[in-house]
Amino acid sequence: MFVHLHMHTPFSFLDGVSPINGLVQRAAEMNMPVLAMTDHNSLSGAVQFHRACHQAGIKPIIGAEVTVEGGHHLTLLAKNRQGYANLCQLLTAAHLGNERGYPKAAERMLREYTEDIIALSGCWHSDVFSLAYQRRYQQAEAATKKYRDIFGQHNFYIELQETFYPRQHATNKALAEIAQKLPVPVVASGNIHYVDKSMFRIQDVLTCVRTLTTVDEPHPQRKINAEFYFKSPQQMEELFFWVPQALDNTVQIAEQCQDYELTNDKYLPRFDTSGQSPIQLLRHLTYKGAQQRYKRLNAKIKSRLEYELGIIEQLGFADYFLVVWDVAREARQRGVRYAGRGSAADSAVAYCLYITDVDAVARNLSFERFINPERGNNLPDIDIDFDARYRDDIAEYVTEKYGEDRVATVCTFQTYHARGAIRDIAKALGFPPEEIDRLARIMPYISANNIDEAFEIFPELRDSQLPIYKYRQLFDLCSQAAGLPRHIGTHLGGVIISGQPLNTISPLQQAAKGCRIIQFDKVDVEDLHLLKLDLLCLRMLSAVQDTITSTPKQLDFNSIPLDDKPTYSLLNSAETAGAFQLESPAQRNLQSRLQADNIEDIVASVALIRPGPIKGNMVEPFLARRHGQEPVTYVDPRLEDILKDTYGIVLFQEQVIEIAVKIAGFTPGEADQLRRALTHHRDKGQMQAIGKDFIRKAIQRGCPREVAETIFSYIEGYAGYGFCEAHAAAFGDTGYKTAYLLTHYPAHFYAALLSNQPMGYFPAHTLINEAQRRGIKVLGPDVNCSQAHFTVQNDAIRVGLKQVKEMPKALLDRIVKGQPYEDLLQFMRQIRPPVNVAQNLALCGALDRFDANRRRVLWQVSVHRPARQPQLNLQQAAELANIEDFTDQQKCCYEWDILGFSPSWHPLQFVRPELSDAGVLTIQQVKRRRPSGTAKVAGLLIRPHRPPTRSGRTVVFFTLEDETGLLDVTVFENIYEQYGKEIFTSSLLLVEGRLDPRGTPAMIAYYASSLS
Amino acid sequence: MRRLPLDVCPVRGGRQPEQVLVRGCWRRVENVVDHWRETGRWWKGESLRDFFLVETNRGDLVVSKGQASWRVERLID
Repeated sequence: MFVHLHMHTPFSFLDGVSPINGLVQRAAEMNMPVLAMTDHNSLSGAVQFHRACHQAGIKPIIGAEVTVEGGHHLTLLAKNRQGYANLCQLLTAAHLGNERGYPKAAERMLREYTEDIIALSGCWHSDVFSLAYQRRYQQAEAATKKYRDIFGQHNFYIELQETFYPRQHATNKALAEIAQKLPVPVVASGNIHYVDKSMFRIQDVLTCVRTLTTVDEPHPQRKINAEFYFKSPQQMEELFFWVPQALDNTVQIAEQCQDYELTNDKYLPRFDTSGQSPIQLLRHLTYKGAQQRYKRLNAKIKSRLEYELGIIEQLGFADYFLVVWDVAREARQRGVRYAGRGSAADSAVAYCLYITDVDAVARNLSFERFINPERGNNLPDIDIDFDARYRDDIAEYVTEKYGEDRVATVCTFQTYHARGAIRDIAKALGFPPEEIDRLARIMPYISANNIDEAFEIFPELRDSQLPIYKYRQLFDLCSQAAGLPRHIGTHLGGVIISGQPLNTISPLQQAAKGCRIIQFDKVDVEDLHLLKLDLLCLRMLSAVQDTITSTPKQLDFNSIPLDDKPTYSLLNSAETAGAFQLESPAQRNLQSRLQADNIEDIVASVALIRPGPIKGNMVEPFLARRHGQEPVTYVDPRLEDILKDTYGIVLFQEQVIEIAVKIAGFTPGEADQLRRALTHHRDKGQMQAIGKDFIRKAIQRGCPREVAETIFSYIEGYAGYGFCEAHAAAFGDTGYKTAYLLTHYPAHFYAALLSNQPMGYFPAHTLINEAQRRGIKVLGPDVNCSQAHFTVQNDAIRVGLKQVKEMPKALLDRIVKGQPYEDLLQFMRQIRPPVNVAQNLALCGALDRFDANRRRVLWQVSVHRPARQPQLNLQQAAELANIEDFTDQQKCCYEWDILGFSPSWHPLQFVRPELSDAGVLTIQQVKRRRPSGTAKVAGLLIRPHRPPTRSGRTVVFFTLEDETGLLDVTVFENIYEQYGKEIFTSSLLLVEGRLDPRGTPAMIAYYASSLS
Repeated sequence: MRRLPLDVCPVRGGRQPEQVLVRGCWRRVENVVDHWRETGRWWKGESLRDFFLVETNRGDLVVSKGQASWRVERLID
């Protein structure tokens, strides 16, 4: 018998290369009853490993290969939950007590956290082995004694590995002698890094990635052979025939280790309720908020609140709600703009606590979509968007309130997709950087194991003329790296609050941005029943706040009227670039056809332009029924109650749940499973199984088979991603209100959007162009007039100095503080900008006020440097007088390079005469030519993308921008096949096509050519 | 330690070397001191080889065995 006690999963980043399921499956195939995982200084794989082992009927042992002083390795295994907690604490100390990325467990740390830990002396990189390898046997013996002293006589083993390394066997024999002499038990291990020998190559390449080397460079961490695979007990017995007790001891260790649960109810934090019970306080706060929200509480509201409070109490979630209420209250008190989103808006209690702004009672939203009583103690998700600038302040408040030891951020794992895999692996294989860049840039966002196939499918790859025969080995290695985690990262919003110190639940480590992260991602956190708050950044809220504070009239965003006719006119005109959630080509097209006149239309449109409803072909029937062009009918009269507000169309997740409950008698729990199956893109088999169940139960409840099948086809058509109504209502509300700002305060709103880039659908240059098209003057940067951000000055937008490339913040502050400057000399003397910044200021026009000749200013700031040499000699003066300015086209190019746009010229202006000669129309001319006919048009290419379609065929959408406006273009598959390369590799495109008579001005292309 | 031309010396043996031909003379392997395995420059098409440090009746050698052939790698003077 033999048990593997030293195994690396992919969470030994860029070292372990076999997925956890594959490793566990191999153990199951070999009838191994126990298996251990020991990643480098990490327990990130623990939850997955625990789950996979239990599914396979294997007892998991959780451990880690810990780096100790001197960079040596030590293998530690947790005997039980206490041992696991100690391992977490040890790893936390090793991470937080050292430079980020270089964890190291000091001896005192080892001594502190030894309880219920078994230690093995470690691999080739351990001090015990390396000393013995160097024939320093006395020191090896001393090191062994030290560890025996730390971990105890029966908890420390000398680890023997047979991986066919030079002098390894002889060293093992020496170690066995030391073990016998002391005495210390020996144990055999496989040091597994992959399931099969065939994965050696990818392991080697990823080691090169990790060590920043190429395959042609030797590195001590690279393995010399393929012997780190999952060996069978028989193979291990053959290798260790000379020391059978080392095999027996694996079993003895496995027997000492218990199987235990990683979850614990005590993980939930308790809110300080000052003596009241949490539910009492929650009830009090809910009713207090309800009085403010509703003024009069009718029976319907009371009954809904009681229902929700009852479930919250039953599931023990009162503390959770109080924690979130407290966060929202703190944000309000600090004046930080926030908005609750997601399914939390299905809760009337959340509405009364001012966590969300969607009235769940008025909208009759389903609370079960948020908290399902049958989901047991699975905590619901509450997501709150904050003004992006202050989100970290709120997170800090949470940390201060609950303690640094109980709050941390959720981690993420960046996994390999095609582009990243190509960049890393090609570099390790020694490809030249330019070649790597060319290859990676052209790659669409696809899995790393589909690259070969992608060269057949995607025209931009197929027609790229890249010599793919050169890349066979590269693509093969990429496919082996597909999905492997590359490194640990920080989740953008997820904050964990725990009822007990987090370092007993997960190791903590420092993130690049300074906060502490746990080593589990959001999926693992859910499995551990840890309380996660999503405190997210939403730059649109920053833009809203900036708009409101910059307008002369104080606006109350929350009180913006929802029936403002000019706002609906703007929405109907589809000129909504910049409006939250309502600016994409698909949305603008929908708006122009929908002709919305109330907020419910906006909520529906937010939900309609989602993969689920689009693939379910719900857009056209919705529009036809909304306009009375098609009767609203129901295959079953019971559907009327559920679908009447959406004209008989299944638009929201809540409706799916209600249909399943009403028609097929699903319990709320079963219905929720159906929703999860729909929203998580489960496989067809699972959908078919649920469909059969639905139809069977519907028939049992008296529904004719054909009707049941038709109803399920509605649900099935919805498969993919769709919004819940609560989320759509929250986003719809914000979307409408930003459209209101765009309507009534366009200059202020555009300035705010531009100040908070990157955000939204369109890049800054498009927003500038749209503002100008609407008659708003955009003034270039000026060292005397510009602030840091974009501002509104005399109804014009003034570009901020922060936009200038390479501008340091301290310098920016100094420039703004020192305004105004009399002349260039004073500016240069007072500010003393670095040459690169001074040149950028000159080239983007920020110094125009001193001299409109930018080339002359450039000469002065870079060659002459007036701050150093105020007087020119005669020759210099003569040269200066004769300097010819840049052409407008050159100035435009410099402005694009330095600012990302040109406030003065659109690039298309300079080629317009030639384009006109070639019969190319401006976008404005095209719009006048509608509703039919054909046209040629040219413009900057914005966001070409291929969303999912119902037919599964590829349709490409993009927007063209010229100096007169925007034109949305659709490219169907046959045309994409011909011109895909041009569309996905050009920045400036000429398109010929026929004009689409429906909705916003748009074109269906039949020809495309690059003008880049 | 000298490195020999790769095509010089055949080796006789099964899983382990038994006799090695060096400069026209067969040396008898008396002891296999060490055995290790290297994958080589796989990205250039090289395949796995087993290496043996052996004591012969006339000095020490490193020999290697690939998929199809034996090779003397190093002659240790």
